[in-house]
Formats: sequence, C-alpha cells, structure tokens
Amino acid sequence: MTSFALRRGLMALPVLIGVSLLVFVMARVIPGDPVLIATGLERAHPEELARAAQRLGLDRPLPVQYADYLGRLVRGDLGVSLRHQRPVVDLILDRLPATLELAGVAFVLSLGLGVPLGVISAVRRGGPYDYLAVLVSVGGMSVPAFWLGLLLILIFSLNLGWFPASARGGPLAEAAWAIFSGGGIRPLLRSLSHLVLPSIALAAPAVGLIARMTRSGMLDVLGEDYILGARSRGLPERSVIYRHALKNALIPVVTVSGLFLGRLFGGAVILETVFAWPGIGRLAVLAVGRRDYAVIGGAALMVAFGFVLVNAAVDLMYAALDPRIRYG
Amino acid sequence: MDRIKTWVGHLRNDRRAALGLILLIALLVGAVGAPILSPHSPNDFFDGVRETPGTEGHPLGTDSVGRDLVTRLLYGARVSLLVGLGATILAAFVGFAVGAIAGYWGGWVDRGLMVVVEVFLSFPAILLAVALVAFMGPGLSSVVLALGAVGWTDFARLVRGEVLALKEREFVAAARAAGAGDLRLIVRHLLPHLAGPMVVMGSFALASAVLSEAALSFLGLGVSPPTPSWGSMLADGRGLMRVSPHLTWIPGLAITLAVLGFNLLGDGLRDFLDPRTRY
Repeated sequence: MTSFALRRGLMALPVLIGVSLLVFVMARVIPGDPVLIATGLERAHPEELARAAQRLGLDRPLPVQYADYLGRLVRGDLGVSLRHQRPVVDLILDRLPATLELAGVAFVLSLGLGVPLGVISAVRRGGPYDYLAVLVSVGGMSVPAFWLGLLLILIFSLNLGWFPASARGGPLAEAAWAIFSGGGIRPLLRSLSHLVLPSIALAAPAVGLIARMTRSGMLDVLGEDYILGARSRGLPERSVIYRHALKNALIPVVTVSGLFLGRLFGGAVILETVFAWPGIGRLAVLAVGRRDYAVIGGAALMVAFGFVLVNAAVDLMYAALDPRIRYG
Repeated sequence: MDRIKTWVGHLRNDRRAALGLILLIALLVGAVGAPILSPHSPNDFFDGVRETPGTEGHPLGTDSVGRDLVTRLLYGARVSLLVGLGATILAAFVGFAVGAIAGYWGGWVDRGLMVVVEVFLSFPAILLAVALVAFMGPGLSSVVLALGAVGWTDFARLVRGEVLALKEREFVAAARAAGAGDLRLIVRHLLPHLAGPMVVMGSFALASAVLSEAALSFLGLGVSPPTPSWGSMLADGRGLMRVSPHLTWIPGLAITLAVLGFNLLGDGLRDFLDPRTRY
C-alpha cells in the first residue's frame, strides 16, 4: 500500500508541474505585453516600463522567469492582486469555502437525483419512466446551467418570491452548528434558502450524466450471471436490484466522482456570477473585467492543483478499499 | 453513399436522432439564410422602444435598445455555428495528431503526451477557457482557440485508445510489409477506422462548444459587440428580467435547442455506428 501511495504521488508530480507551466505560459507568453499586464499600467513612459520590467524580473530569459515563478509557488506565493492589493492566495482562500459549499451541495443533489433516476430507467427499460428519465438526462445536459439559473430566479424569486435571487445566506456549516449552540434554526434556513436555486441549476447537468451512467451500469450488471443466481435463489426483486445490482453498477459512477466535482467547480464559475455567490468563480470572472491577471492565473492554478490532489486522494481511497487496484 | 442511405433509413426508426437532425437543419437554415429570412439588419434600432413579442414587424419583439430579436437570433446562430465548428475542427485535428502519435509510438512518447492531456484535464474546461480568453483578449478567434484548447483532450484520448488496439491488427502489419511508412500508415490505414468514432465525438464536442461559447459571451468574453451572440443576448436581457422576461426565455431556448440537436444527433450516430449501445 505504501509503495502504491508513493507511485501515485509521483504520478501527480509531473501533472502539477505541467499545470504550473501552462499557467505560466498563459500569463507570460500569450499576452501582448507582460509588463503592462503585471503592472496594470496602461500608458506609461517607456523608461518607467523598463524599470518595472527589471523590478519584476520580466527582462530575464523565460526559463529563468519560470524557475523563479516555481520557487515562489512552492512558498505559497501566487503574486499580489492589483485591484485588491492583497496576496492572491489570501483572496482565493477567503472564497474557497463558498465555492466548496455550493459545489458540495450540488454534488449531493446530483447523486441523490441522478442515481434513482438511472435505476428506475434501467429497471423499467423501454417503458414510459425510462423515456422520461432519458428525456430528463438529455435535457439536463443540453440546457445551459446559467440560463436555468436565470429562469429559476425569474420564476421562484422574482415571480413567486420563494427564494432569494442572489448572495450567500451565511456559511452552511456555521448555520448548522448554530442549532446546537443555541442559535436556533433560523440561520440554517437562511443559509439553505440561498443555496436552493444555485445548487439546483449547478446540479442539473450532472443529474443527467449520473442518470445515464447509472442506467448503463445497471443494464450491464442486470445481465450478469450472479443476478440470475440471486433471482433463482428466490430473493425478492427489490433486494436483487438494490443489494446486488446497484452496488456494482455504481462502481463506474463512484470512479468518476472526482471528475464530477471538477465539472461542478467549472459550472460554479458561471453560476456564481449569475447568483452573485461570493466564491472563486465570481472572483475570477470579476478579475477578468478588471484585468487583474494575477488573480485569474492564481485561481486557475489553485483549482487545477486541488483537482489533481483530490483525484490522487480518491485513487488512494480506492486502493485501500479494493486490493485489485493496487496490484492491477 | 450507400452508408448515407442506410443512415437515412436508420433515422426512420430513431426518432430522437431525427429530431436532432431537424433541429440542426433549422439552425443551419437560420444561420445561412439570415439576410433572406429577415428584412432587418441585426444592428438596426427601432424607435429605441422595447417591444413585446407579437408586435407587427417584430414577431419576438425587440431587445433592450430596440433591435429586432428574431434578426439577432438568426445572426446569433451564425456565431454559434462558426465558433462551434471552428473549435471542434481545431480540437479534432490536434487531438487526432496527439492521440495517434501517443498510441502509435507508445513508450515514453505516450507517457509524456498523456501527462500533457492530464494537465489540460486538471482545469475545469470553462475556467481554462475564461483564463485563455482573458489573456488573449476577447474576440472570435480567441474564443475558437480557447475552446479548441479545452476540447482536444477528449479526441486525443479516444484516438490513442483506438490506435493502441488497431496497431496490433493484421492489416497494419500487411500495410507495413507492403512498405507503408509511419505517416502513410496512420493517415491512410488507421484514420479511416477512426472516422466513425471521431464523427460521434465531434457531434458531442459541437454541443459543448456551442454551450461554452454561449457561456463565454454571457460573461462578456465572447465576440465583440454589437455582433449578436445568444450568450450576450441573455446577458443583455438579464437586467430586464422582470419587465421583459422574453429577453431571457428566447435566447436561452435557442441555445438549448441547438445543443440538444447536436447531443441527439451524437446519440443517434453512436447507436448507428455501434448498435451494441442501442437502447
């Protein structure tokens, strides 16, 4: 197990270096003038620019600049936001919990809706339920999440007034804790009411994908001999489906759960803008408008790093749970 | 030609794929025929008044500054199709090259290229596209490049997997014995086998490129105004949701139907080319 963990860790290393190289290339090589970008100076005297370039080390060869960049990265330095005049790392860490909360709730929601939908669809294959489930899943994948978000705001917020249209209603975990520490249930309700619309919009595309994967997984598994075996031993159909089939049908779904979380993070980039949700996506999108390039690059880098590490952790968990993977 | 005939025959039994094809034909007709279908220019202003749907001369009304909505939808279809096709062709081309090289040569070349693929997959696609457009500056070509840059990895993985399996087949050994070089082998002998799966993936890639283009223009990172794009039309209608909800409903519906069309067509093509997955 230790050797597997070590190998898996070593596999992540080149990817992390690649991620940093890609962000570096984006920030330093693609744009017209990196000095203008780094300083935010629009019209400056050439001499002033030259001094700035020297101060920032932008006059040195690119490989040297990259080594420099990596060195600062290792020390947790992603640069300073021009707009906020604060370290980018701090800005991102401030907003990370909000994005994690939104993506986490959407994740639970998409599994909670997608798996049952896929099971019904597979068990009632070819029937009206199956047709409806397939329709919902293709529809969920085709509707732009940000449009769905706008429609939810239009219907449930502006017209019906059931849920707030924007902002976060306080951290969910704190609100939940308030119940036990004498704060009552109001903070939790407030926090949840703000989460309802954005998390539904964010989950919709994932529901479709998970329902599809569950459906095809179930159809594969239901044709296996051990299912026939279970049925021939006279087990009730419910037990066959939920205890024997579903467990194995879900393996592919669970395997890509890390990938799903990554997708939800991507969706959050846009939905946070729609719902004025104070997370990393909104930070990055606002930074684009303000030409705050350190923040854009930093946000992309941090999210990608998180994704690589989460995937490595998921793999390790599997190896711990299923020995076949370690020796496979 | 025969294959196309067979496929048309297949469509009769696959109503979903037929629906997808109808949606896409409508999209294409709208995009190509925009100047014929509408008497207006997408940037003509009418009285500066916002009209509701059903007004004479403006069946779907006008937008926040009084431009005809139908006309802007038709011209917006051009942007969606252009960006979608451009990004998908770019992604397919790069993905094919990388995937074929990785699968064909294997070894450290394969391992190295797969690390590059993983690097690109580590970013949420839309975040990477946002960052790329931010650094390149908005505009049609930036959007195409950015969406191509996030889309090629799917093609690369598909092609690599297929090539890994195909290169062990006898016909490859036969071609090599007949004196075919590496490049000729890949292009003349392996590519034809990959055409089917690549077309299927291309259809799904188009769906996601159209979706991403809409998202980028919604965020103000798409084609420059006043060129109409469905995403920027949605952003425009956002402030007027309460008084003119049609400015939110209609462009979003257009995006959804176009994406649905490509998704349904992709499903249909896959079922046709690989009947094992047929429902």
